[in-house]
Amino acid sequence: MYRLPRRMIDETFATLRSCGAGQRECKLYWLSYWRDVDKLVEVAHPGHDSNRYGLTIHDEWITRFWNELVDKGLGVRVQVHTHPGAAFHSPTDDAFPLIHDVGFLSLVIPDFALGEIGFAGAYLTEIQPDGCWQQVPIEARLSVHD
Amino acid sequence: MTDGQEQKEFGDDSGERGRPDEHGSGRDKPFEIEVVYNGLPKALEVTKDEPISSVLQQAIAAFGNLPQPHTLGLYDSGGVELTNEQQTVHEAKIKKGDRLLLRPSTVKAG
Repeated sequence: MYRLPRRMIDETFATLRSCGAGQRECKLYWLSYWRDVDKLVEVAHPGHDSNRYGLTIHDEWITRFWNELVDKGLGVRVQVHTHPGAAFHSPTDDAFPLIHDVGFLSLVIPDFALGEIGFAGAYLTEIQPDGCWQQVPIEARLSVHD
Repeated sequence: MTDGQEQKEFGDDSGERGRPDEHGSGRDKPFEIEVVYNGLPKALEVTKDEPISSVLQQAIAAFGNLPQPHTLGLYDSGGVELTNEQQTVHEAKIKKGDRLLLRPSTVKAG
């Protein structure tokens, strides 16, 4: 169970809204230190190209980010991205995550994150030991605190 | 043999390729590099004549049972992908202490 500070939810929605402007998908990553994996501490906003129906992360951003993670002792635990309408995991979402490791989480926020701040209508899925994604209850994986 | 000498002989791309070790076995002496995935560094021992495909296999194994390993590639720390898997460590200019990135080549959402 990851401990998620409310300030990270606020930051996430603010970024998804400002970057996506109600017209484009946007993506973020939630990070924690390897020395304290369960405590999410930081939001990373990747460089990306996006439109209403998808996005691609910039290659040079991944390189820079990969080096920064090691240097800071951080790891990526959750990816968060928006959909224009309902939240679900598309075949593209399944196939091209940044991290493909057992237990990695992917949270999809509906309506370009323009709704109420929180997880109403959101979809959370997790990579299983067989490599496949499986939907999991949000409250079973994320514990929000002030 | 000092560390510096060792690096020059076995981990420096200015050295001779395939030089026998001091025991005359004809095999390159391994040297250590760092491979990183999702913020974790792992030390790998490689040799100059080892193909990149072997280094990639070692790297994937070092991080346990990563699902979908075919989506991962090796990159130098500057972000250049080591696409020619038949190339040797020497030919790829990988030196002792170098950092390689194990990462996906494509990250998308839709």
